[in-house]
Amino acid sequence: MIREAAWDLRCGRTTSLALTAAALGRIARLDDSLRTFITVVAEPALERARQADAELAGGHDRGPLHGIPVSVKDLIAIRGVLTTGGSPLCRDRVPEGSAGVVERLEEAGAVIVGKNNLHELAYGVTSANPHFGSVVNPWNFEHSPGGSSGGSAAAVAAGLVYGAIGTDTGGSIRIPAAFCGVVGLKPTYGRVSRRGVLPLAYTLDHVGPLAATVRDAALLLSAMAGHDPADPSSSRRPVGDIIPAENCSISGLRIGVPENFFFDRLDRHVDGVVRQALAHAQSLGAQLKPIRVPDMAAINVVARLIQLAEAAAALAPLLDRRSEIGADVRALIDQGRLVAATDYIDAQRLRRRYQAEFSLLWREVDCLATPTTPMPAPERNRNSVLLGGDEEDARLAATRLVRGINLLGLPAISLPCGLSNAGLPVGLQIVGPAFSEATVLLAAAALEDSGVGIPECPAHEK
Amino acid sequence: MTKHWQAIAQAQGIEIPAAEWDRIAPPLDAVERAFRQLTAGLPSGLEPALGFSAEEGSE
Repeated sequence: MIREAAWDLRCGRTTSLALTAAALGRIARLDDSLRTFITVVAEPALERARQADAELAGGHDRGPLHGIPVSVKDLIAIRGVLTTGGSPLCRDRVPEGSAGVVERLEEAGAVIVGKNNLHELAYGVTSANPHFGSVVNPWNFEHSPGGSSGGSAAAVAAGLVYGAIGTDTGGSIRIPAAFCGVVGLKPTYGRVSRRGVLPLAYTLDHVGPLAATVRDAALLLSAMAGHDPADPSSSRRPVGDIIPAENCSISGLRIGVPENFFFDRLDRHVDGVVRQALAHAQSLGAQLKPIRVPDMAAINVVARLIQLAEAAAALAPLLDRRSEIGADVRALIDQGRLVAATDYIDAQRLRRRYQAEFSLLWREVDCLATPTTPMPAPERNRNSVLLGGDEEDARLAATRLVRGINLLGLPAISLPCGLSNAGLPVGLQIVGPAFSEATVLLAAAALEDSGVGIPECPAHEK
Repeated sequence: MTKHWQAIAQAQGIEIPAAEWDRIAPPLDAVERAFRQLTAGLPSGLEPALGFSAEEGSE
């Protein structure tokens, strides 16, 4: 974990060079099977680690990420490093500048060891990349890691890195976090710069951290967040102190438990594990308040339509070489090209309506708690899942409880809250009002501190 | 009412190989059906949630 490693660094029990060499060693040993990296930047990482050690020795301490090995999803630019977006169409793309988040992480002293594999062009939730290999779930190689930030989540779960950066357009941080048993945080829209990140859907894309613990995710977000004048959607709101205190409490916190939508058609183990976590929150003094939420099925439809149209605008130029795009992604781009402009505008009008409806919830509760996904990680290459007695498209099922939150731009965290009977992680999603990252993180940290969580992933022992 | 997606594509000069329509039309039909119900009766005064500021870049 980041905090322990940071402490060991300052006590002289380890060095950034040792941490980085160990991370690179694990990647070399395990990643042929896990497929979590597209590019590993071993020499630059080791050089940066040496610098980090020299700085610490000289009294220059950049903070808790100083000297810590991390990775970024391979659609986030690093100057001089190949950035493929998981597509052969970008196989030669070497950016001249780094993304805003990379600049911030480097300023904070983090050591970036490589670029994580992802669903092609971040447009899908399986991370079965036909060009760079299919990421596998470290808990069970036969199961999906989720996506599109599957490489980032699996790398953290397997202990290859201390934290990773992903993106989330319709659940792409929270789904793999839930499936791989790590913490994933989608911040408020505008909280983290999107500059230098390959776009999928301009008004739905979010950049955020994945980590082993809630406080590690908070440390990463704290370093990444803040205004970037070069990103038109970047917020000027001050970030403030978002890192949960050691003895944080949720006593009196009003946690909304949706009566509609979010607990419909769940795998029964997911339902049981999540409700157990909620009962635990109540035992810690939180007020569980049953609440009806706006029409999330409609919100999902609107989000899908906007994503189709915006992704087509962003990616259609790639169709000049359509045979080099995977069939699933190509079909989604083509679907988006056929969305009428008036429908896109109407979708954005409906978005404003739903945003207003949803904002009324925050008068009654401080946050919402829901499952992250209706089921644990399905088997790879499985197109449908059985939920509530009905067969459901696996991609739509995976995004069902998370996609709408992107439309609303709200902060949402997924933390592991237990294992299914098959030994696969289950995620608990906590959603808060815009720019309430501190509340969402506090609620998650208090639960984690009190024992809500899962054992270490078996891949750690390898 | 479903849309004739292939005709729309043709009218817009969008070329999609015939074999690929099975992956395109059914999902679009589903989105279209669900979305059309939501747009009925939208008041014209409801503005889209899109950001544009004339002041942008003037700082």
